[in-house]
Amino acid sequence: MSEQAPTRDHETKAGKKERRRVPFQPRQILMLALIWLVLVGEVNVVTVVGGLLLGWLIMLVFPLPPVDHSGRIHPWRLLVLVTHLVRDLAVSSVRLMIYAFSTRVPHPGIVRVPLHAKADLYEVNTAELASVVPGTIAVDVRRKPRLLYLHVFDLPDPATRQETIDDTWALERRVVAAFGSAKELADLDAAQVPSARPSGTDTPKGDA
Amino acid sequence: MTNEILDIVGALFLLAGSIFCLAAALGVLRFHDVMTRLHAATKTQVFGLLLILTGVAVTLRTWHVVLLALLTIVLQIMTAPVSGHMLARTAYRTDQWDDEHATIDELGEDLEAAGFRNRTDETVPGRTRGPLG
Repeated sequence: MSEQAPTRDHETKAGKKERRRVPFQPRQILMLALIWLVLVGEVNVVTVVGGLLLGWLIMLVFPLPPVDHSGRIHPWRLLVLVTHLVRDLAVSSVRLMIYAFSTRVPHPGIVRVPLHAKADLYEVNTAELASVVPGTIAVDVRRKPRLLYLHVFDLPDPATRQETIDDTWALERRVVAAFGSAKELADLDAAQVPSARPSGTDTPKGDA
Repeated sequence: MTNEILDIVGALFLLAGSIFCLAAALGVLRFHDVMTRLHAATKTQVFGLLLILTGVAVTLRTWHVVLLALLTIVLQIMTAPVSGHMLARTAYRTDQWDDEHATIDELGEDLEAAGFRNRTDETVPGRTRGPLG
């Protein structure tokens, strides 16, 4: 969605609303000003106004399409997501440390993982956090159909690829649970039923 | 008393973080290809930094440092996978990864089905690893 927004805007409103190419995003300015305050470490009139001005300048110089987000943030589920994240980070770091100090050669593999969340935001977040889940890095991402290609650090037996898929699906569910609406979560649960699992032989069509 | 305990906890965090950073450096040095090295560079290193910054925050104990450490950790966790992904994608498409030891490559299957071929497959016959691999 977010990728298409500027072009759609350009097509329909070209001519009469050419000047609104950079969308005004007060939330972005506010976030940037907040980060500025943390960096400076002082709260007074100069830093607050300066931060807001800087945020406004960044919005103009580096325009970003607005994120199409229909859900809301659930604090408790976000905490669950973050806790899982830190634990995953610890587990994967310890595993990698063992490999770094030993002489074992890992057997990597690239696994295709279909995703079910509708919005780009969730796919991006899942891909990001999948790079923290023990043993995987996102090598390639496809939007249509939503696919993630994960490089697994050690996958001696290709039959265990289902574990990677299950882990990523659980991660996707945590992401939607933390950021999505109740309807999106219900849709995801309906899409993630075990019977819909790919057998591994189906090859998705599309451009590469 | 509590100050001394917190100092010791902070020192332990710093030590653990340094060990993880050492492991990350060793992994980058010793692993066989770009992909596995990226695992070391994006996970172990980020976790090491997380521990070190926690140690710093526990030792210095001011709100400014805590917020700064938190901001650094959040930005690191958000940006490391992005750069890691860009490098992994480039490495894959220029054939700089270790497919000798790989057991499964479903991206390769799908790319081949879509008509994509790595140029290095043709220009370097008989070589499975790239010139820098």
